[in-house]
Amino acid sequence: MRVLLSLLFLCIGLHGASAQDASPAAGKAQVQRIAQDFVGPRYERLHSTMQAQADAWRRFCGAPSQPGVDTLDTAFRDAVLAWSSVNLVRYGPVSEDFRYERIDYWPERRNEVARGLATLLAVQEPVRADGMKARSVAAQGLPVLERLLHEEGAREQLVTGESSGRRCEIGQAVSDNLATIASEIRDGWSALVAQLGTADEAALRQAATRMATDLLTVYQVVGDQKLDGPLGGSAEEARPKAAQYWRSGLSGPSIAASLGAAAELESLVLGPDNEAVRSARDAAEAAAALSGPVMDLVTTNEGGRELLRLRNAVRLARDQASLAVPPALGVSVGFNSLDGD
Amino acid sequence: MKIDRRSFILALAASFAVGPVRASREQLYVSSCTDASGASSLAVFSPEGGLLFRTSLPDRGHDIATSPVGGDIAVFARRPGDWTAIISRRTREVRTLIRSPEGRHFYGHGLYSADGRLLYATENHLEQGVGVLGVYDATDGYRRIGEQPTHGVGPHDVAYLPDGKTLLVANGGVRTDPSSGREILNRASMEPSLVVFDAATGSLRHKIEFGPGMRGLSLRHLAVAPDGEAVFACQFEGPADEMPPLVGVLGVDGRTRMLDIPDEHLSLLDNYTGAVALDRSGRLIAATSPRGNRAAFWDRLTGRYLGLSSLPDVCGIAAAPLDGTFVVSSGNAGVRIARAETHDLARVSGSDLDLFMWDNHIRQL
Repeated sequence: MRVLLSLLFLCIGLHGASAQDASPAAGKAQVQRIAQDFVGPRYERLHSTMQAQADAWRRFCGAPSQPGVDTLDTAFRDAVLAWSSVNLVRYGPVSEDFRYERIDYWPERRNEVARGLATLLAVQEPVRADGMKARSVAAQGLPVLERLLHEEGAREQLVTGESSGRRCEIGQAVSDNLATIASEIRDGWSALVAQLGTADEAALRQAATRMATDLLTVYQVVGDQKLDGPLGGSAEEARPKAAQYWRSGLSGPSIAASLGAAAELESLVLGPDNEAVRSARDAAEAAAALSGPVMDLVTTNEGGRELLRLRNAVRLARDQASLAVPPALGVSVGFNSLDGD
Repeated sequence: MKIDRRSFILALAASFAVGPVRASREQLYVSSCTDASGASSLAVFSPEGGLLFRTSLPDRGHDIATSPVGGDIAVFARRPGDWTAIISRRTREVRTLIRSPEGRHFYGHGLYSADGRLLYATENHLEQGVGVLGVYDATDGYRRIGEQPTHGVGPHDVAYLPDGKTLLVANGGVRTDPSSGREILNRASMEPSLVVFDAATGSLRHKIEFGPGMRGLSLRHLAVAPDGEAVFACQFEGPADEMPPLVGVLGVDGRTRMLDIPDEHLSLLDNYTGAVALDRSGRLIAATSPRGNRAAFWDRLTGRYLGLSSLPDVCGIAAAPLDGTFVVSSGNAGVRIARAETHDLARVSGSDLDLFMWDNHIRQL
């Protein structure tokens, strides 16, 4: 393997541009296309779904009802899927001010979301969107809304329960704050796109490197954390609640949206007929076609095998992306981060 | 990782441009790196002036030791490597290539004795699965003259305490074997430790073991302050949803304290640090996480956490010439100067440094 890699490096070095290797100018154009055509529209959609969710909470809290909870749930699903289709991007404004973690704190450590929500339920003063930034990152994102909507007994609590008013207040504050964060990211990204237009070669190379790194990271996160985490070693060792969004049943759809985004990004860089792009699409389609919720699949041998096939498809997609995408963008990635020393 | 001597000699013949001689007051740094063609080398550079020279290496190097008396620079192969290259500062060429003896391999770190006579290297005793410190005689062609136990499994970094006689070694606790690459063979029974022992005799002075509560935490890198305190930086091999603190201080009383960091900052380090350093004053601590793309800073004397800097694939770190500043390097974003208090990053003037993938460690020359 080492020899193969050395040969690969050597080939890149000696022959400079094989068919897919980027010249600096082509690399610059690629980075700008990704920023404008791939990321930009996704952040627009993230903002519009987050805003729609905030509006839904405001309407619901005016007159809580059981059908109203269904509307909130649909808005939550839209927001999670919009986020999942752009959560591979960790570069740029989403990495500032802990925005990524404030939207989606996961994996949850030390039961922090539950503790954050308990604090919000217990505080004396009103819970407001503008006070969210000062709170724990675990207490202000999609995981809090998921608990408000999908914890056991949550629907009744929201509509008729003793804490209904406070839960509404929290839902409104959290969803309003998420819409604000999404607008900051959208605006920050527009500014970044403008900067890239006049950036020097080093800055462009860094942007391209971050994009390639983020792409490979999403495969790592989906494979190692979102699939291997709940799978455990066997059906007996499965950890169903290690699946992200297990409460709302959005584990599979969220993974499918992330992998679909990865496939689309690769298609922009490599062209639609590339082998790596086909593998990425296969993985996304396998995730979309899962026969049940991840938390149920992990507890049976048959379901476990289905998830293992998906995980293997994700690994294949990652391996092919790691060989094809960085050279196509004219960069190298993961020198130390994959090193393990 | 075996190297092919013939291809190494060919590679040597194929390189390198030598830069101009620099003013002697300029602080120089040394690090392993890889160029766009995939060739590994040792580079000597200054943040102000860029690259001074590069010397070809057989494969990726890891840490570096510089002789306090002679002009030798020792580059240790990345684990599980079977070579250590001795480079002469005067000729800028590899003068000796030490090969690990049968049944041992290098772990990537080592140092020279205070008088420059001996070179120590952390090694794996393959048969017994325990760590040893190989001892090489720099005055006799780097002949291996013995070894001492590191009193633990998987030694990684090693450093002198300020007396210049006592060594501190970080036993990562992770057992590996070159036949299975870097796979961890004892994940369930890792026993990380910090060990203080006499450099001359190898006798154990003090061993700090990290109990079951810290299982999965692998001690890797060290930085010793002039007052005798030592900073250690760890990697966590356990479940991703656990998040132990990663950087701690070994006090002169032999007690350890982990450094505080807010949870949301700690989560950004991704349970991983790749290097640790103290600034020139010895007061400020910096630890890097190439997986988290962040460097984190603390004040050692007060324990105060100072914040994070963001740089993709950041790993190498060393004290910069001004107090409170560090030279940091990345696998894909070149070299920067970081200020601990403000955690901002400044570009360095030698833009040719951006052309290389910088390996895990930087040392002052």
